[in-house]
Amino acid sequence: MSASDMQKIDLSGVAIDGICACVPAKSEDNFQRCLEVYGDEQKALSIVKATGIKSRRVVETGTSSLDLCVRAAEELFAETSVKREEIGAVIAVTFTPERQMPGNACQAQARLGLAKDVMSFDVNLACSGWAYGLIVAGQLAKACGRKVLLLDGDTQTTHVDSKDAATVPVMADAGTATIVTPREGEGPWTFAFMTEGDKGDALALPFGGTISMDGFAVFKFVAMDVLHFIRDFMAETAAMADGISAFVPHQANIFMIQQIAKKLGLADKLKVSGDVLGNSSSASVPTTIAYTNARGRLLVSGFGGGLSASVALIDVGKSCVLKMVEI
Amino acid sequence: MEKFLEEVAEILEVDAVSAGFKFREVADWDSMKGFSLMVLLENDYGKPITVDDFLACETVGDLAKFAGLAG
Repeated sequence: MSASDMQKIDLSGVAIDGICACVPAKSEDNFQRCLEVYGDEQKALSIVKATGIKSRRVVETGTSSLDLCVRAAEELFAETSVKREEIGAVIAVTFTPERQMPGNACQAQARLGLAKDVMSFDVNLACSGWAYGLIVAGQLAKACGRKVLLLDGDTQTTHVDSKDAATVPVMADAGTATIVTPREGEGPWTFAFMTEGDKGDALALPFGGTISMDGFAVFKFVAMDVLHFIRDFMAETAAMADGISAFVPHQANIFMIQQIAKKLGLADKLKVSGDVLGNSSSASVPTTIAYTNARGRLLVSGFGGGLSASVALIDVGKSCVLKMVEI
Repeated sequence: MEKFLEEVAEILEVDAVSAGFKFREVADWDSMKGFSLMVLLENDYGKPITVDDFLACETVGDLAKFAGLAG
């Protein structure tokens, strides 16, 4: 795809009131866990070094993606002046909902005590998901003139084969809540999206199965296609590096995002949380914003299962509430 | 060839490499560096390499041959 045929979508008149990330209190030491999987100290050390992930947050049995997201949303209501009756829609981005039916958003409406006229639905996406949720939330906020609660969270570790060397060393859990509000004069934010469904098998979770990942195929997708995609987006939006306050990519693994940041000329703008929290799928973008207190003009990007990618230039203002909580 | 050696050195995080350099013997060799070399061949030199062919390569010169550069 050349830069000129990239579909860009502008969104004006919306702002973010707050972002809260809820991570499990349990931190798993990645070296110890890799040692269990590989049974070889050198190999385990090499994996920890290669991925740059020292520890990962992992849920206790029985904690769901819904639990994590609801806890994050409760914290946001407590920390912002937003009233529950101001919410017009709830969107839950997840590929690991608590139950296949009902979805996380419908259950969040009840657990958070939101009004009955609230529109509630899930969006099934993996690592690319937060920007997809954000653009839908922004459009709905404008359409209904009310605030939209965007939940984004997964419990990937409950869907991993405990012996799988490709997924165990990177995958972690987190749940986030973002409140998007209609506000005249804000923006524009700009979004672009990319889908390569023909490569979907590279990262998959079949019904009743565990997550499988073709590490090299995914690496290639990120290092080649996604890199070009973000580069084209930056060229198209004339987003020169000095206009960007922070670059917040999906925390796939630290090596990969450092490489991308370097090639985009954004190494000094890169925000990282995955070295200690791990890769929590699409929740890793809002989690990293909250964890690093990233504000200003942010370049955010998610990429993974689909295969699917997203990139956006958004604003996180000074008054935006950014919080981390544990469960 | 000079540019290729520079690009490989950058991936391996060393100052310089020669064609005879056995890239897996670099300190801190890992799969991510391997993936990066494979992507370099495909993305920058238009020469996709299979995992089996990559595993058969020992030296930087072997990779250069794949990239279509004279050893």
